[in-house]
Amino acid sequence: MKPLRASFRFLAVGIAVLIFAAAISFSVSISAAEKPSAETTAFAAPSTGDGALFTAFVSVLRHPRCMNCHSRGDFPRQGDDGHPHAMNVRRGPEGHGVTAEKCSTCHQDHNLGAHLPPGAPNWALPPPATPMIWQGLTDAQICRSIKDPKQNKNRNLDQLVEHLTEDKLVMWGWNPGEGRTPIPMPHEEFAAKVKQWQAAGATCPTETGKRAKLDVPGQ
Amino acid sequence: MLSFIVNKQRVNLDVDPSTPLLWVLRENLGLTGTKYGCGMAQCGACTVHLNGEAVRSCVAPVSRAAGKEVTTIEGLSPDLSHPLQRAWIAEDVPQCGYCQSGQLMSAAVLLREKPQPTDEDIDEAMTGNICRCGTYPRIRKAIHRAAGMMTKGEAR
Amino acid sequence: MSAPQIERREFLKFSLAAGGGLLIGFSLPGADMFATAQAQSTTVFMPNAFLRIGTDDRVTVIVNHSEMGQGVYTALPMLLAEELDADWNKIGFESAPVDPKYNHPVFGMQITGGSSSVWSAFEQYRKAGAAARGMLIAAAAQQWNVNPATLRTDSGAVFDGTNRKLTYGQLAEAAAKLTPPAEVTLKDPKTFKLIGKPVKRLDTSEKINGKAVFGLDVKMPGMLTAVVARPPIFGATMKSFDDSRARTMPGVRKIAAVPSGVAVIADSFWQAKMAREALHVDWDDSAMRTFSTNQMMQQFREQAKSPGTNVRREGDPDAAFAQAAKKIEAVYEVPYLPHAMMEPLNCAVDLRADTCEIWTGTQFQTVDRANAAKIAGLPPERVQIHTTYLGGGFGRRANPQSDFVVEAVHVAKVAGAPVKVVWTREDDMQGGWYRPAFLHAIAGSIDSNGNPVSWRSRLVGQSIFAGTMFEAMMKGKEYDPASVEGVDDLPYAIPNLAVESHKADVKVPVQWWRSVGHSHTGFATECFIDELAVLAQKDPYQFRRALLPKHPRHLAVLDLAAQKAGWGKPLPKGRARGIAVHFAFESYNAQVAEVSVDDGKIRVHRIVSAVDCGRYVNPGIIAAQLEGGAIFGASAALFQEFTFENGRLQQTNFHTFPMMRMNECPEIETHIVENNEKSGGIGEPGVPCTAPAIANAVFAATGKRIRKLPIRMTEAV
Repeated sequence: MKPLRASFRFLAVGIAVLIFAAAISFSVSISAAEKPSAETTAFAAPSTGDGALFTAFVSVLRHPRCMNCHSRGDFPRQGDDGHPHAMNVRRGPEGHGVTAEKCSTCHQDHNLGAHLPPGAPNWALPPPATPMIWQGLTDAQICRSIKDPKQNKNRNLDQLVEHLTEDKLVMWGWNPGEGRTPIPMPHEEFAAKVKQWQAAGATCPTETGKRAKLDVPGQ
Repeated sequence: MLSFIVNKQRVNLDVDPSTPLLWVLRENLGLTGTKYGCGMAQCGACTVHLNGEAVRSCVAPVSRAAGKEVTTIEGLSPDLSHPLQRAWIAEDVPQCGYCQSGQLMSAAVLLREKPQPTDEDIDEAMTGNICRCGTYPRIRKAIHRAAGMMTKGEAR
Repeated sequence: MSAPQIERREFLKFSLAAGGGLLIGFSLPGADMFATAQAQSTTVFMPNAFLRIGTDDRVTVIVNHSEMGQGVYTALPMLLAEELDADWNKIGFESAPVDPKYNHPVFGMQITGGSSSVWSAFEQYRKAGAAARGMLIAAAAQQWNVNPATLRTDSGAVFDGTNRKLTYGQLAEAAAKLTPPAEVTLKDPKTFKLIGKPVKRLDTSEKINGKAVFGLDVKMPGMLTAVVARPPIFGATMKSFDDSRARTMPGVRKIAAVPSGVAVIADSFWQAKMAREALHVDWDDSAMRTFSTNQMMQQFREQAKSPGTNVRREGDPDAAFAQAAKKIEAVYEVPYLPHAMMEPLNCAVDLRADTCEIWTGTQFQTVDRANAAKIAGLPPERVQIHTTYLGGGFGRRANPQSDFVVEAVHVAKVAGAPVKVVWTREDDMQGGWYRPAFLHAIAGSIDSNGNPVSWRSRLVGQSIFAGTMFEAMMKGKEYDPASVEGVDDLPYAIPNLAVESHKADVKVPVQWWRSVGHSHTGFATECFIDELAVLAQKDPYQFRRALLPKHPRHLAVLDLAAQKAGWGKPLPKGRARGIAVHFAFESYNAQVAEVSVDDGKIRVHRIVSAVDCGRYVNPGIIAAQLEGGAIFGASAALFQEFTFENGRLQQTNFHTFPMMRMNECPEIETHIVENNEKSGGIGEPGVPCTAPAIANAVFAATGKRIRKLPIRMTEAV
């Protein structure tokens, strides 16, 4: 049994990586700065006033691990291809699913293993009043929306940064469990960049009019 | 020692806390009405209520139940009087019957939260429960029937 | 015979005593209806193998077929109760032990399969009821000292002309002293009170309160649970295993090699499963290491280019094809499919020095007993099988090698205690015995008036009989009749017709799967006749009608389905209908599917299914079987396949092997043709038409032909 499972996982990961690569190549308008890049270091920051500090980490927000819950439609998504969550799962009145298909029906506060439901504390979607949908938004729009207390559950900047850097559910993106692609930018680097952005005044990029075409295929 | 309530009875158990609730219910407590179908929260046969919410017991470690209240199919009603059970009989829903415990436990949460469910509500509540025999059309009818019984005040 | 009288009530008693705490009562199917063992002890009248009547008026019908959802625990009691004039509210049921008395009257063994339970029991169970009724009347006549001919029966009691009444319970003891009649007269069907009525199922209650006992629910005192590490590739053998870590894990009692792999035996399932994950087994998997279904299908396509074994030949299809005005060739392909019953396989065994008791949900009691006896080293009479409820069967639980039973007896031999072998879902899916993958290469032609002139089907696929005890059923034929059923009797009037069969030598274990050969022949033939209709620029329904002049029962279901579906009437934009008709298991089915295709995604909105299964017993159950058959067929049409790469199965659980779910389920309407023909089957006949009806509807909606299942619009032509 063991050898079979191991190779199956290997294969699944291989396929997932391929799909991810394909997804990236579709997203033509994602700027080079957003691409996960090994050369970018947390401390070699670009100038502060033009929102480049935000675009330095926006690739994380656009990653399927984040985007699958921040995408269009009143439902979560799955996989690196961002397909709608199986079983007709919906956002629900509080972002916790509906009736007999709530997030906690299957998801625990921890990952369970390959092909099993992933999990983290407070596994949920943003609530419908503040759905925090990033799909289809420009970097500038994403930036403004996460800073907007009307859209971000009334978080001030400190609380927003805390959510981005310390929330267990967000942190899950770096430890998504076997068979799922983790966010490539190291968490430390991401946290440092977010804090750098905050320290420099949390400036958003200016609107370029350029719009990410399809961050998540299938919509 | 792990302690929780099952079908209104307190149980104290000495089990590995990572054991799925399903197997504790079935093997330690003899409550075999809750079924094993897939072991990965894909089919819903193992659905029970944990503090009133539908939970796939095949992936929920028993530790998650500690201090909480579990209801299984055996505790849905003592005498087949739950409106859903009566509707299931009226519509002759089960075929092999294996998935029906899970179907009923999911439907019970649906009806509690949406006493007059639409077809869309049914799709959103019941799509996590697989039936290989294909009783879906009857499950849908029976849920509507149970909702009707509840409106008419026939519910317990 | 000196069979041990292993009473299930004994078993029930010690099961109740075991465990404590919240342990619920354990009972076999139906026993819950009679609440207590005490009530059963009042049984006194057992006129034959099929019923018991207690002094408490309870009538227990002993059912010789397995209940796997198809409703035999209701339909067979109905047959008996009808002739007994029983009070339906006092009817209970019980699964039959293994005994030649309970053999299928046609197949000569205890088996549930071939959609044959109701038709094979139709007279058997009625006669059993009629015999008992005669004896109860005789007992009443004796008691009242009157001529039996002056007495009548109704609702569980005998009445005389003055309406004096003796219930069957009151007569049970006296009737037990009488000799069963040699001959019985059966009722005139016109007087039936139960047969033909939508009587509610008897097994619903215990299936909605958790009390129904499936094989997986069996518990015995001191019982251990085992999982088996089986080869990852078919044909692989174990070289060695390392259990140094596994055997130290909590609850593990024993780890030992068995012929099918390595058994891990523990106090509980989860402990056994955890230990199995810690076990390392070295397999020699060289036999099929390079097997791939892609390559296999490529080979099938090559094979189909040359003539196969002749199955049926009329006229000269090749010459006719060559000269025809218009012609078309198409290759249809279907994949391996598992039965995927909701209850994964399992089997509990209590092996003693001189007896072997088995509790499992099986469709194949006689064969299982014989196979188990060989392994146990006991005569078959010393082996008893207690048939539990089956959480679905679809053919898988009738395995010619009794794989899951034989393995459990092997495990019991090493366990040294009662043991239940549990298969995980992954074990079950990877365990083999699938519906074989098949290829149909069909060439057909029409004349200038659009009338078909030739049809040649060449089939390539594995035989389900080859290598089994059923090879004899091939009756010296060069082909497997189960492979070609449904195309060898193609009903359409086509003057030049050939059916040829190619054997495929592949070592994937294959078996009957709900509707067997019809599961692929229905798809291929009903899609191809649709292609011919379009070639002839004719309406697919009318085209079929014109070719069925000698098949009135095909026509009747076809007309009924078309009419109820509103064939030819306008549909909302984007929707289209497809039709199919097929004869299988002595019944006729036609279906009309209504679909739309949006961005490559198929939505089935509605299925209308019409059946002619002759004289029927319970129309409610027939409707349920047609609904279930259509959903089973639609799942296969839309979602399901088993594929192999490097010898390994690529689908292991429901995340990669999807089932139709509630939100995808169409509206399903069912209709029955009323007639007085001999009863046919119902469990399987509702499956074959679904895939072609959907595929033909997809063509009507998109102009794209579906020649491969599961349907992918990217592969449509």
